Amino acid sequence: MKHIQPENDPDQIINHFSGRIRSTHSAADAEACYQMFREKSTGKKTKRIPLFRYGIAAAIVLLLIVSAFFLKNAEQAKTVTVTTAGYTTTVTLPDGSHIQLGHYSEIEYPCAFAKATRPVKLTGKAYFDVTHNPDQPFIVTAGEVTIQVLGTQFNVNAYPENPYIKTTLLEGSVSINDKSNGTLLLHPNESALFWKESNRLVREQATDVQQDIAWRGKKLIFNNTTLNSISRELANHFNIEIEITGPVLGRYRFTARFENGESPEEILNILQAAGNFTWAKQDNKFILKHK
Amino acid sequence: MKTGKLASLLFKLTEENAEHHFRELFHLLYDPFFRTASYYLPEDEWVQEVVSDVFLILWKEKDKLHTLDNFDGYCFILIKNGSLNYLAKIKNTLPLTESEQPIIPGSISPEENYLADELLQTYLDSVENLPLRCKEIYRLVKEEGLSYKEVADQLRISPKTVDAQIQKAMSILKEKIKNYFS
Repeated sequence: MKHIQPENDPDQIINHFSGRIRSTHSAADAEACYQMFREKSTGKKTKRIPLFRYGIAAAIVLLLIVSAFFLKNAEQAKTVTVTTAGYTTTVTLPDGSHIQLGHYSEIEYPCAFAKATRPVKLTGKAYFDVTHNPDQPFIVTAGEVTIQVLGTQFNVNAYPENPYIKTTLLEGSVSINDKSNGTLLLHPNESALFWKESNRLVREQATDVQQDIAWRGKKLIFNNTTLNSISRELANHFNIEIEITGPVLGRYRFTARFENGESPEEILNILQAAGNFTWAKQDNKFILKHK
Repeated sequence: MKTGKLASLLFKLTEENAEHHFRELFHLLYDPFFRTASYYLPEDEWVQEVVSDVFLILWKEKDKLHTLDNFDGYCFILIKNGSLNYLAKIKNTLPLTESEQPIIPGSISPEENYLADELLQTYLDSVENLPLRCKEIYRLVKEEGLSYKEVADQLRISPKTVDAQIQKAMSILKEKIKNYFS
């Protein structure tokens, strides 16, 4: 491997470094490393969890370690800060609310919701699923914008370098406040955009709600997969019933990617266009018939 | 944002409740440490081993960390030495291919070695300081090796935006590297 000469050009230098340097992939890896550190500092040997082999058992054990850590933290500390880098992670708050944190984002919240409100500070991007509690308002502060939550699911995009802060509501209701513009009450499938430079707060019909939250959704990827397998996966993913008529249809193979949060109907329409079947819905069951 | 928070965290390590603050320090520094070590170590598991050792040293020295003039430089040396020592340790047990051989300190002059260190730190700091969105996209394209289309699909943006962010990142990084040599 060459060593760096001063006369190498910047492009070569950048390529050299970017070719070797890697980032952390998951919060679980960071947590596993922390456990390694703990083992070494206390001299106590805990059961070593395989680091890079993803089994359900490993994931569950790591999840327990993370939750156990947060519980321990609660006794000792005032606030909890969670920061992500090149990975996303989901955090459970003391009241059971879930926050799915995007890349390079950070949240800060008190270890116990013991006061009049449930305050959370956000930098970056997060999806909130908030436990309903009208006696203790859930309040998110993202830059200049304060979002008061009334038991609900919503997405906030507040990366510092964006010219706006965007809040998209899926379920429930939130009220958005930015001091100078007063309060905006959002209904499901609406977005609020706070434009930082002009200081304007604007309501928008969210035509692309699925786009706003697609970053957090599971992708459905089929690679030469039989219709039988596809139906099973759709049934699990959407919690629906799918029936395939006849023995031959199920063995047809499809290759497709669904990453935009498409509904089962949209997916079946797309598959139907490529394949040899029609579909219909009968009493909450999807029935696929060979053409 | 980061340096102020880091300085105050280092101070808090001298108080009671150090473990909690150290945990926060871990969160703050884990990925930057991972990235630095990954330059020297081709396997993620080796990186984790070395990074946990570095945090162990920081924990043992926690009372003195706030007195350091250059905490970042200190950490860099810990990571680099830890990585090279780890490689020396396993060199005999695992054959490395030609492309995985690291820079062996003895084989180049001390000045060149130092130059490589500072250049690496400059690169790492420059990437760390890119605007968040830009950094995310740069990392996915240039380091993870995803195509513009794959990144556009994953982040729900247009390939043109990806291209624009890459241009921006490259121009910032090139500028910082040129400045380093001037």
